[in-house]
This record gives sequence, C-alpha cells and structure tokens, in this order.
Amino acid sequence: MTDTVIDVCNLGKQYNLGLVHEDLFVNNVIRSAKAFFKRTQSAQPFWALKDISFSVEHGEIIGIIGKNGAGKSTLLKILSRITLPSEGHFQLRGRLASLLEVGTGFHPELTGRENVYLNGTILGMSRQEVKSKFDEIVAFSGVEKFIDTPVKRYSSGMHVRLAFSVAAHLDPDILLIDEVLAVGDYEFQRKCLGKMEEVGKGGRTILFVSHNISTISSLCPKCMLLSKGRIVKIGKTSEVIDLYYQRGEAADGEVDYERDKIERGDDEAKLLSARLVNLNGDVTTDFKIDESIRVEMTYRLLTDNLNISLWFHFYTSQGDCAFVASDGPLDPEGALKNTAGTYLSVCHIPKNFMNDGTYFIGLAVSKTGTLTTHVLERDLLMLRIVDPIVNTATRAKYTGFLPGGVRPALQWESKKLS
Amino acid sequence: MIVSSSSKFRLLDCPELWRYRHLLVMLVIRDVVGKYRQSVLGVAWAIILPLTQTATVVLTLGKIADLGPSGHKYGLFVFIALVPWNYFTRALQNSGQSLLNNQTLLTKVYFPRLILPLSGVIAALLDFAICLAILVAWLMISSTGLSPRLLAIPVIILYTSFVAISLGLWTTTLSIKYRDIAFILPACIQLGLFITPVMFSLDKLAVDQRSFFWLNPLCSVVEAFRWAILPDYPTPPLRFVLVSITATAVVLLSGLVLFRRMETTIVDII
Repeated sequence: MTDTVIDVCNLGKQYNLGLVHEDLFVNNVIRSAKAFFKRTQSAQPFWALKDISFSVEHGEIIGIIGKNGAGKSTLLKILSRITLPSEGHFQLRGRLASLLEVGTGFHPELTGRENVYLNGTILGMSRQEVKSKFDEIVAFSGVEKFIDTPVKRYSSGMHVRLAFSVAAHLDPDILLIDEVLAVGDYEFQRKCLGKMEEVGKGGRTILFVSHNISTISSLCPKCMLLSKGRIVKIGKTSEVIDLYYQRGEAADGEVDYERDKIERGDDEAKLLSARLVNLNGDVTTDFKIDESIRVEMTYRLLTDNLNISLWFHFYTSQGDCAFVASDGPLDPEGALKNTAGTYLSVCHIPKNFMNDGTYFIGLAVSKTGTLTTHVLERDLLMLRIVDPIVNTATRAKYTGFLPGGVRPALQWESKKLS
Repeated sequence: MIVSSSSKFRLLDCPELWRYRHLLVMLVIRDVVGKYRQSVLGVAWAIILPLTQTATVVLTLGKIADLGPSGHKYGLFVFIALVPWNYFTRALQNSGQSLLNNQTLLTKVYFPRLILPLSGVIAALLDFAICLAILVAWLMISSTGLSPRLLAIPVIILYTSFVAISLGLWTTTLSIKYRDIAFILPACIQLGLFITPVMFSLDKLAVDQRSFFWLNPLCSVVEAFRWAILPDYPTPPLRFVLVSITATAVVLLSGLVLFRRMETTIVDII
C-alpha cells in the first residue's frame, strides 16, 4: 500500500469568458437557439487549469506559488470540492478541510461562543469535536472575556483572532489553505503558523497557497509553481522559488513599459518605466540593509503646466503599508517639470532605514493637492532587504525577528544623570 | 474518495447528508437565533404576526361579506389556516433564497448544497410550532376540545414541508442564474394567498368552481389542517388530495434533479 493521500490526474477547469450571466432570460433563450442552429460557440472558453497531474504523500507540506490568475485558487477550489473539474479526476484519502477564508459563515448577531460552533461545523468538525476543543480555542484567541458578546461588537482584530483560533484547531488529514494568513496582526499570524506546524508534524498533509514567499519557504519543504493554469515545476522549495524569480513572474526590480510598448497613464501623463538601482548603477531587487537604494521612475508629460506630484508606496509582504514617499520641496529641480517632455525622478532611500524583508512598491503620479491620479500602479516593483545580522547597525546585537516596516538608524544620545 | 469531471449523477446521497447533520443543525440555529436576537419581543413575534393578520381580515373582509363556513367562527377559521400558510411562505422564502443568501459559504467550503434549502425549511418550523402550541392550548381551554385528528398534524406539516421545498428547490436554483426570481417570488406568494381558501370558505363557491381551487396543493394543506383542528370540519375529498400529492411529487423530483445538476457548477455562475 502506498502512502499517497492526494492523487491528481489530468485535471482541467474551463470557464466561459464573456458569458454574462446577469443576462435577460429572453436573450439567453435567443442565444441558445442561435448556437443550436448555427452550431457556433457562443462564448470564449478559457482554461483556468489544464493537464494538472501530481501526487502528494502522507505528511507532506506543499506550497503553491504563481502570479495572480495562475490557477492556484482554482486548484484549491477543485480539490476542496467547491467546484467540479471540467476534465480529469482526483483521489483523496482521509478527511479534508479547506481554509479558503478565515471566519467563513461568522454571523454578526451570534455570540463568539455560537460562532465558534458554527464556524467549526462549517469547517467540518462535529459538535462534540468543537465542544472538546472549545476551551483551547477560546484561550488561544485571547477573547475569553467577550465570548458571550455578539461578534458584531468585536473589533476587527478580535474577530480575526477568534476565527483564526478555530481554524488553527482543525484536525483533518488533509488541509488546504489559501492566502488566509494575509490578514490579522503579524504576531498572531506567527502564533497560528506555529500551531499549524506543530499539528503538521503529527502527520498532517497540507497544501498551502500564498503570495508571501518567505512564509512558503519557512513552512513548506516542497513547492509547486503554477503559470497560466499549468504546472511549471514541483520540487524543493528553494529551487522552485529561484525558478519563479528567474521567470520574472514575481514583481521585479524593473518595469519598462516603454520597451514593452505598454501604455500606462492618461492623456496628460504616462509612466514609462520604474526600477530599483544600487550604488553600482545595477538594476536589482536585492539590497543589503546597509545599502542605499535609488527608486527611479521615468514618465512623459504631454501638456505644459501640469502640476503633478510623485508618490512611491512601500508595502510589506503582509500587505501593510510601511510608508509613503512623495516628492516636494526636497527636490530642488522639481519645479522644472512643468513643461511637456520626458523626465526621470529618483527617490533616495538611505542605508539603514528599511527593515529586512520583502516589500512591494507601487507608484502614483497625481494632480498636486488632490487624490486624482494620472498614473496609479500597485505592486509594481519588488524589493528585498537582506540583513546579514552581524555588524548590523540597527539590531543592537539581537539576532531574532524584529517587527515593523522600517527600522531606521536614528540619532541617539545618552548622558549620566546621577 | 474519487472526484471526477464525469462523476455519476445521484439524486440523493443520504449517507453524505447524514455526515453533515451537525452543519444542518448549526445553520438552523443560526437562522433562528440570528432572526430574533436583539428584538424586544423575540419569538413572541411568531404569534403576534398571525394574530394581527387575523384581526385585519376579520375587521375588513369579515365586515363586508360572509366568507366563512356556516357553523364556525370566522376569526378562528382564518387563524387556523394562517398557521400552515405562514409556515409554508416562510419555508419557501427561506429555501428559495438559501443559495443566494449563503454565497460566501458556497464559494469557500464544500458541503452537500442541499443542506441550505433544507435548513431554510427547518428554521421556519419554530414559528409554526409556537402557533400550533397556542392553538392547542386554546382548544383545551375552549369548549371545542381536542380531537384524535390532531395526530394527523405531523403528516400534514411534513407534506407542507415537501410542497415548500419542492418549490424552494426550483426558485433557489433558478435564482442563481436569474436574479428576477427575487422579485417574482413575493408576488407569487401574495397571489397564492388569494387562490388558497385562507380568507374564504370553499362552501361559498359554486361546486364546479371548487375543483379548480383544489389543483393548488396549498388548498389541501389548509383544508386538512382545519379538519385536524376542528372536530366537525368536513374531510377534504381524497381524490383532490391525491392529485395534489402527485403534483407535489412531480415538482419535488424535477426540482431535485435540477438542483443536483446545477450544484456542481453553482460556484462558477453565482
């Protein structure tokens, strides 16, 4: 007998793009009739997944990565039986639970206690099971005091903590997790991951979808890369992540819309390119914590007297905004950019300013003093700050994890008072 | 367990439904508790509503025309019919909107989808039970007395549930694709009240007109319920009851086929 718990064979999922379901009944009838007589395809078929075959051994933890639209979520939806595949089949051994959202089915009028039972049974536990784990779940969440208060009175933080606690105490043979760890406070997420890992060592099989590469690499020894609905590679996580970056599918250190002949912007201002440049003038995503960073954008203004402001938005890989940087009086030549033409603007990030970790950088070109934007791009560039830990100015010889979007080296002074 | 794109069609998977019984119970509790929480009168609304309806009918229609059967108080006659009628409409509304109202559940987790319309019907039972209890209490106090016919009520209410879920399966499945159902359903329920002998007695109609009304399954429900409560109420004609049961069976079966065929792709359309 083999130890295979998930066996997927030639799985495919087709969606019909362009088919508008809110359509009038009459139109639907007419369309069906036309399609019947002319034998034409009324909608564009689109394969969200195609030729997916793989198998998972008992106790394996596998990460699934890929760009948006690569089919990661569709795959989890099929495996968790939320939707049926269009072709192929798969086999599961053991009890499966899927965690595609935290707090699915939470009802605002019900108390925390009632919602734990509701959410637990929705996730596949029996009432007895929830009952036996109830105290543990509540203690883990830290909302004991409010357990008999309707959850509509909870803060969003408490809401998420309670929901997470239920999820962390699930005990199926196979667990499918989609991106859910992107919400909630970071400390609590780590606690949950720890709890899941703990249970995972008890021989639980986990499939884990995340955008957060660092979470994937710390949690999953094995990884699958999906692109355009197909499996590119399954293997050791480090190798797959390398391939992911090599293929340039992750956000990159450079985006060149001009070269790629892509138009971004409105009829007054267009974004041409953006890049991260190190001291040697090389374009890269990886910087040491004590390296300064040039964040560049080039853009074209199509009319004169366009009063614009430039923005860079720095987001952590958990999706929190670390900080926003805008141009302004600090740019001595800034006032010059009021005639039509092509421009380069650079934002300098000093060394020993960012925390270590992965950041996604978005940018905006806006009308000064308003929220109206000519260009608005999210997650355009990826920045990785590496901390060698030894001789780092901003960690006071402490070698563990330090939270925060920035970790600047600031001026300090001390004197003896008595 | 094997899941395939070409899985064989099964009308009902009872063992699976049984495995998910805890979820069914919790969804019913959610619907019932969620509905009454933070209302001052709470479940008292279950009885206030039909009483108000009865009072309105008696004070308007009752004053204009003599619509009730001879030998029975008009108010009681109307109230008794409203109890199963209100159960039916609530059950139909709950189950008919169950898929749309639970979209987040549908798209995030697997369970036998039939649980949703089922829980909608069961959740409506609480209001019915309260009204029935009040009705029985009243019978015991008043001179009417209890008749052994009361024992038929579970069967009648089971049949009412079947009528509700058979129509509920059709509406909830169609509403996935056509949101128009949300507008059509309340209108149909309103019309249904006029073609069901709730506010009038069939005695007041010409004999050849009555059979038309009997085609409506709810006519059997209402008449049978009155028969069970009132000791001297006439028995509904068996042939009409059989027609009604057959019609319900057809709607239920076709609704179930439709539902089961759609449920695998609901998430892609919703």
